[in-house]
Amino acid sequence: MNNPINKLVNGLDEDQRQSLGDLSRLAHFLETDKLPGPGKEESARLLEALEPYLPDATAPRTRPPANWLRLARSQFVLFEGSFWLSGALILLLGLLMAAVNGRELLPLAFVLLSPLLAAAGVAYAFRPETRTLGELERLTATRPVELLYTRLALVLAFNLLTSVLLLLLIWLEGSQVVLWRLVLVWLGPMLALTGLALFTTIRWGALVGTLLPLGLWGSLVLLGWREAFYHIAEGMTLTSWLLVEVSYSSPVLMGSLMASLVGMGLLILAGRSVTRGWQSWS
Amino acid sequence: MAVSCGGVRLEGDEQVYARVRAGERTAMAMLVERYHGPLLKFLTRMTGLPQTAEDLVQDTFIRVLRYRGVSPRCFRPWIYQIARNLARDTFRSAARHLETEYPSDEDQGDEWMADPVDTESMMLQTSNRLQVNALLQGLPASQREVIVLRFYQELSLEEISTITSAPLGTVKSRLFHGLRRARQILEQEEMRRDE
Amino acid sequence: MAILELKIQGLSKSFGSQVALQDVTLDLVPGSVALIGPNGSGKTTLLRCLASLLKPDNGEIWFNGLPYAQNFYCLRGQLGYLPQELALPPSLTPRRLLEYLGTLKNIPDASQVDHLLSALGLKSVADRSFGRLSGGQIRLTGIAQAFLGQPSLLLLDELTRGLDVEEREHVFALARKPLPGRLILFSTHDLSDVERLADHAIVLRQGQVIFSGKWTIYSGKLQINIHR
Repeated sequence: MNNPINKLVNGLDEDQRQSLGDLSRLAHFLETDKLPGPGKEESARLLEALEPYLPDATAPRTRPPANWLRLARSQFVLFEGSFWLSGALILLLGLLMAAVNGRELLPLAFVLLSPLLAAAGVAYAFRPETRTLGELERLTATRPVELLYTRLALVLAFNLLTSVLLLLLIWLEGSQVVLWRLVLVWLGPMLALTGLALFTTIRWGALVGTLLPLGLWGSLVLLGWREAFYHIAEGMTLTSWLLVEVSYSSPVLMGSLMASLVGMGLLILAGRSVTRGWQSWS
Repeated sequence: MAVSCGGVRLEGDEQVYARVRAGERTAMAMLVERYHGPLLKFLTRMTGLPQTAEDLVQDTFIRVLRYRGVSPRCFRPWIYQIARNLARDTFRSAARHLETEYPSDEDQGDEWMADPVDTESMMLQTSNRLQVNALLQGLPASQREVIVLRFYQELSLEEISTITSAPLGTVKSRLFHGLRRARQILEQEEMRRDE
Repeated sequence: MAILELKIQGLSKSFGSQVALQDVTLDLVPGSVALIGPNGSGKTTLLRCLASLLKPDNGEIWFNGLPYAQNFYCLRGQLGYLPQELALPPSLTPRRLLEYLGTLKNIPDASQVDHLLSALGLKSVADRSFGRLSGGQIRLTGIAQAFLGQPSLLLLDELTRGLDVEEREHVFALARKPLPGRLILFSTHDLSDVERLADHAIVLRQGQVIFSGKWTIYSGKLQINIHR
């Protein structure tokens, strides 16, 4: 828009422009007024005067709600196809089990494997491969705790989705297990192992973050197996025993609720740990 | 809104301002670099007082830095609006101090704009600056303002509408009548000179 | 008046018995500063300390008048860093990496990403995974992410490492674009990089600053030594 006449008439209606006639002399006349701009020193003085008014940048800002979604979406780049494929395979396995003997096998598999998968997902999301990326992430205005919980939420959401679909299969199979109790018995270990995986991954790396929950859960399963074998000796099947324990045992339910609390505590501790780390040197 | 001019300007004003609000000094320097000159020229043309214009530019930037509300959707008309209002408020309070009554016509509140230059003929002025100033002083203040914002600051009529808080139709009308009057003044002066 | 101030006072860092930095004191203002020195002189250690990735054993760093310990949030929001080694997930692409980091840096749209990819000649490989890119292309991506968000403090370790002539030209063109109040501190082994890009130079040897000042003065001294 360098043409001086256009600068004058741009925006006016056509009949207004026509009515004004030839404005070239006016435009050129107005152009002769060349006001000088401020010099570098004047701008520097202005900047110095404005310095005290610059907002305080030292305090972290809370993220607006709309940005959380954007942050969550951005995390998808870190989850390779293999992650989503593994979830699909688990569902496929569930379908196969349902085809073979869904009533008994599915709840067993669900209780035993689901918490492990959540922990594995956490270890995957924070795997060593992303360490350089971790440094670059650290050097942004996004607080690590925001990143941590967003990424964790994605892992848990995916785990929840596969679990809900498996639960649906269990329900469709007409299993005798009490569903709401099954959910609680699943939730406790899932949260506990996820919290443990996250906390240990942050503190000691992904290897410890994988092995510790795996080891702990494996030990608990073995202890449970011992108990199960005792009842099998009395004539119950393994899966029947599990169904009874899940559906009627108060200690199992209480234990699961305790595990949920421990898991949530570990998740909060993990968040505090990264916040402390971010507010100091690496 | 990112403006790209030869690849130099990567960020729109709105993004730069968002960074200023986050406390970034370089962003503040960018904003000053972009607007110090244009605002100074605008306020100098409107008030006729270079030193006052300097002070008003600083006050404008301080207002922008101190602002705590929702960020403006369009930064450019917003900062001009602040500058214009500050200039108007400054002169209003000066006028009150002198116990000056406001005129009751459409130019009410526009006494902050530069006083008419005391001269018999525009063409007798010794510098282009003064000649142009004399022509613009022959216009009602509201028309003068629109022409300055349109021609010298290259703002769109929509932006001028925001800045002056006048409907777009009114802005067009002021521009139209202002240009017609300005052209008439120039022709009359040129005829007088030829005589 | 300096828009950005970076003051380093008595910085020291050791790794076991190995002294990496020894009583480094510097006062940096906007401009382009080259950090040069032989391998093991402490360049990377200094840059990592300034990037807040490494805690020094002694000394203080102030960013815009505040000590680092009180200023991490502000610092990290205004910082661009190029690591010496870039180990990025092989399945990621340059575009995805920049978009991801752009989100973390709260950059609202992707136009900067497109601009940086073009400026560094990465447009044609923007959607190719890192596993299929050359070392130079990966390095350029690292440089692009450092410049994302137009940070006021750029710390670039081994800026032109692994880059060919054409790739270097892209980098110089980007780094030379004026931005008021920005400080670029880059390390390099190539003195021609310093000639092309730096106003000032800091020379390190065995963790100590042996020269800090205008590059033309230091290069003059080098010439004298060569001709002796």
